[in-house]
Amino acid sequence: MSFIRFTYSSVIKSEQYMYDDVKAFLVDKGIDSRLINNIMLSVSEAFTNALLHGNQSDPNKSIHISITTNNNEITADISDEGSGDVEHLGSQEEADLWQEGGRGMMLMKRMSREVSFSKSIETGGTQVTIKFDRNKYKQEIEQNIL
Amino acid sequence: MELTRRDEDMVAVLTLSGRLDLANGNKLKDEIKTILDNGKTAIHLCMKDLEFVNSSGLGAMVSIMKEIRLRRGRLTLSDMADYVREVFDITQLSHIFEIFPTEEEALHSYQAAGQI
Repeated sequence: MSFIRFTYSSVIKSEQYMYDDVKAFLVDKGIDSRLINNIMLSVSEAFTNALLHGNQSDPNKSIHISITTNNNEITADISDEGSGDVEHLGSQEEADLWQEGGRGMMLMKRMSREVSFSKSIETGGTQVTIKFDRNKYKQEIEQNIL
Repeated sequence: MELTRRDEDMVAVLTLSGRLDLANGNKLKDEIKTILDNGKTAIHLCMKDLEFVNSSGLGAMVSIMKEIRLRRGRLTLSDMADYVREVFDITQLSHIFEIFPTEEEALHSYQAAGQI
């Protein structure tokens, strides 16, 4: 099992550092590139929500990301230092095609196996937990070979 | 995200590379606004080197599309990586954007429509 944790200030520039850090970790762990794309998109959506909505872009508040990998599963936890009100989360309706926002939740759910929300014990803010099946593409590759 | 621009007759061609996300969406919107303000309303975005797009980047794309339609212009896209195309398909945005396999085919469509 591998585990890594990153912490970022709630400024827009942090997004690019987060992307580079998380991707480098996943590449180092030998994760399939297609799965890395799915993970990066999901984590990026949760990160944006934490920055804009949870921490209200307050640079004094942090966003914490931890990634855990084992042979079967990859889990990403993204937590903010906001109010921790999780009641309204997860029920976002699909965006109107001409709407500029509102697609993040749907993308997270489509790219992962499971998305759940809770109040972070550590920060008191919202914690998003996203789980991915590590063997998703491995099975496809094996089927193609056979 | 890096943007390079060239003009093909009446069409402004922008090549995008890198990531289109929260940090870069406004950069693309500003560039498109400059092009529109200078009187060009036919815009093509070549996405061959675009490696990542998220919902913030998609929001910027929708905003651009609305602005171009408001000015009675035309926006085309091409050369999407499979992964970027998948994101457009999942969100159904491929229904509102004109997406071509290659830049050549996109530019040919302007010629065929007499827009060049």
